[in-house]
Amino acid sequence: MSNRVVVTGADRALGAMLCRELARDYEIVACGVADDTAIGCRAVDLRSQDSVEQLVAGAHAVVHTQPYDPPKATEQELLHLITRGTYVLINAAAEAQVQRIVLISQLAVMERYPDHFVVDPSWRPLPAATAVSLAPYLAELTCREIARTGKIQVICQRLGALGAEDGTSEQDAATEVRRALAREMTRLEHQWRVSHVVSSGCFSGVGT
Amino acid sequence: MSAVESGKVVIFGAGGPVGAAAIASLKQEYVIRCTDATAIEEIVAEERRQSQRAPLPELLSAPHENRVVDVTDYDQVRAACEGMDAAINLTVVRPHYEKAFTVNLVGAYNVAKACVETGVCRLIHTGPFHTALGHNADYWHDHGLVDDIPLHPGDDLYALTKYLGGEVTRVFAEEHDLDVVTYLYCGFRPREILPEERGQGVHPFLVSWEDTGEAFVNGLRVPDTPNAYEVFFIAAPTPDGKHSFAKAKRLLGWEATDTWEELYKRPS
Repeated sequence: MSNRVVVTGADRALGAMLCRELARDYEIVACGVADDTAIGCRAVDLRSQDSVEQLVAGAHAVVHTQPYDPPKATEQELLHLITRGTYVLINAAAEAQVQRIVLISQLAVMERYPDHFVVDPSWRPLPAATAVSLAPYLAELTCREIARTGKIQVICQRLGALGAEDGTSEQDAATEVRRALAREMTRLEHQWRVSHVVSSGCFSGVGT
Repeated sequence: MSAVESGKVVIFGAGGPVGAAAIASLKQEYVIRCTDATAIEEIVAEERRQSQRAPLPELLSAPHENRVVDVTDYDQVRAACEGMDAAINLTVVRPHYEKAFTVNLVGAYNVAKACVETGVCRLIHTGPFHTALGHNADYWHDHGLVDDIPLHPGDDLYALTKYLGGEVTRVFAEEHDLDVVTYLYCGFRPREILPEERGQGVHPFLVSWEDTGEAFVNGLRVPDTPNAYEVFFIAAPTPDGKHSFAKAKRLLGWEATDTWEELYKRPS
């Protein structure tokens, strides 16, 4: 089996950190919106089918961090980039027989519940009616619905703000992504799974 | 929530057959701003029908208005919503990789946002209900399906992008004081049944274009619905038992007048 893992959003803080951490065990293919030779990141527009097909060829898994930390864009451009990019990526990955997508989403989609509610990952996300809030939610829906067809496995991890007091530490993020990549899943179980990765705060320790 | 008994209505995607039906049903009692990505004048002049028997929109004159609007352009959408009491979003792109996302999803975002910003209080959103998508969760083998079941679009470009557009519209409806009625369709046909069609059977979830037009009158005039974002199956009930259309009758007071007995009954 291939040891190659594609990491999207590698030109952002989380993606770059995961590239560094995962490189100990995997062959990393890092991509972002811009080339960055210092970290070995190449520019790939995830909306481009040809580019993405080349990107995922021969990969074992994809860690899709772009919905967690997308590049700056207009509202409309952001929605287009994240939804179509995710759609093209997951379909190309399935076509290339990539085993799994690890989708990194934002815990912010759950933060509109009252603080005193014990919210776990099975609760319905409550994004705000803004492109910034909707984008990761729509990426989740895209992956969930395609995973439902059985053509690829998706493990979705919702992360809090990286390194924030009530967010997700770099160490926890890396540990959980590593665990998601190694997890055994059969074709007879749910092909979509979602968890919350939080190091402290009100979401910590609840159904993660 | 308040019913829109009269006033001004903007229709996005007015150049298609459902738009044509909506125009025919609304033109007497509402002032309509008909918008499409292609000039309505051009669609009419060149008889650009979606299919051989699909209706063409009527080219309305003042006080109605015809305007070219690209729903992917927020400024154009917002300008089209200015001064309107209600909006109807009929825009759709099916097979085109880029436009499916920009029209079906980003367009839905633009319409919902513009309605909120311009004070349009009622939006009728539209989309497809698919059951033959080729995966095990597509409801193809189910019966008794009702309006509020979650859609499972799978990886189908058209179904997925319209599904995402519906979710965006729902979020706007629930966050803002925007009253959204969503109509889900599956199949359309003309009211007239040709002699050779009689007794040939019927596709479930079928509605005449003429009946779709009347449903928009009910959607604008319904005074209240239980939820800010309310979904309705729009079709005629058939004896196959696959779908229930009772909710539209119960909450909107709408039911299909074309019920297709001539198609599913053997000629005597």
